[in-house]
Amino acid sequence: MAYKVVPTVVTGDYWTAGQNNTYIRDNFKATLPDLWTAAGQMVYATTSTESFGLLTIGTYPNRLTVNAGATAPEWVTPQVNGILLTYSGVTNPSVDDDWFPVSFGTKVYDGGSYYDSTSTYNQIKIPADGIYQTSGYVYVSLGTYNQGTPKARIGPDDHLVWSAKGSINGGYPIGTFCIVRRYAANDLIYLEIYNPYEKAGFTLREARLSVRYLGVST
Amino acid sequence: MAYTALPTFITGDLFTAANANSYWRDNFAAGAPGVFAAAGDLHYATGANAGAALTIGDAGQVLSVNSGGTAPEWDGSLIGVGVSSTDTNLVKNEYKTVVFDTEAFDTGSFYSSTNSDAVTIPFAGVFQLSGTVTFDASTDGTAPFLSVRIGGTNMVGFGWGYPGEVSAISFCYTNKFAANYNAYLEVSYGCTGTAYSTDYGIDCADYQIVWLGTT
Repeated sequence: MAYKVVPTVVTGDYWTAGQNNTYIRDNFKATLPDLWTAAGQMVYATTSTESFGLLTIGTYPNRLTVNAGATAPEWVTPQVNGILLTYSGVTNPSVDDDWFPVSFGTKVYDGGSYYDSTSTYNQIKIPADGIYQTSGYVYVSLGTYNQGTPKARIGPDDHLVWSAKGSINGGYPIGTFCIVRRYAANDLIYLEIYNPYEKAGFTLREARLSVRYLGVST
Repeated sequence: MAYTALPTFITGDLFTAANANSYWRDNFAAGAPGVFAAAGDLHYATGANAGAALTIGDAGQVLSVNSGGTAPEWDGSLIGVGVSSTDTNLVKNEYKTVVFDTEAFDTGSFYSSTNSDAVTIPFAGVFQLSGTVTFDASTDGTAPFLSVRIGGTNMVGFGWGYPGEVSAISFCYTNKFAANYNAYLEVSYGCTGTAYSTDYGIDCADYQIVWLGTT
């Protein structure tokens, strides 16, 4: 039942039963709370004048946001704006005493078109300028005679995020990192580990690299 | 003030003061802007033909669906838990589940003091798990190796203790989880030498889980 604008009445006019039905009864039925049908509903305008829609309540833990056409609110579960890559296996870096880029084998999720399939190692491309959190870990094993210092660093600026100086022979150190940095669009994020010593046996066993957009900063 | 649907009137009907109070006054009061009491109020349904005002939240809050799925509510954007434990003894070469005794925050029913070694992911999504485990100083002159894992399988931290020194392992682990995943925290120490003194263990541990969203 459509809402009808109530006409202006002046002294001496009759207010008839028909007017009462049209402008009072029907207008009440065309608006709230008569139109509510279920708990949690909200109302929003569908055009610029005298027309609205009912927004059904979402499900926990939905958040209210703007729809893709910017024409109405909608309840959604926020999408993670970020990517998670993992590596599991046994890789022996071929060059000692040098940095070794991690080639991730599994993409757990990619919420935001971060994955760059054009490169074996630079597999994360920042989609837009902003502040990002980069976290993850590397899990390596040292050779029996390996007394060196394994390290990990993050591109694009080779930021050192972990080292384990003094690691004991035959150990399995895990380096965990979590940094927040400002990146520019198209920056390539990579993870490299440092093969510390010339004795055989240093291997990469697991690695994990997660990038998540946090927001912009002026 | 409850809303009452108007009956149809016909010519000759008497429209009384009581009718006016019920159908005009009360019905206007039951709708918007009648239910509004303060700036920022929102109008939402509490059931069929019934509504109420939702008072504006605090700065920075976002509009969310309540845990019952029945109404909108203003709340903080963080859904997560922060718990900590105190001194716990360990057994050499065995993982021991950390029992948490202090809850700093819990906005998603992750933790229950009646099941204090479990920290349960309440719904499917991507979560960040972080924390720090502080190990006691070893007292027998050797260096133990220290491990931290989550959910029985996910290794998130490994390090070395040094004789007579406290050691700490920090971790930050992001993953996609299914609903009801038990993200319990385990720690262990090991060594190839003789057993440590019986009081070796962790001095404290803190553990946070924060919901990031879905994919």
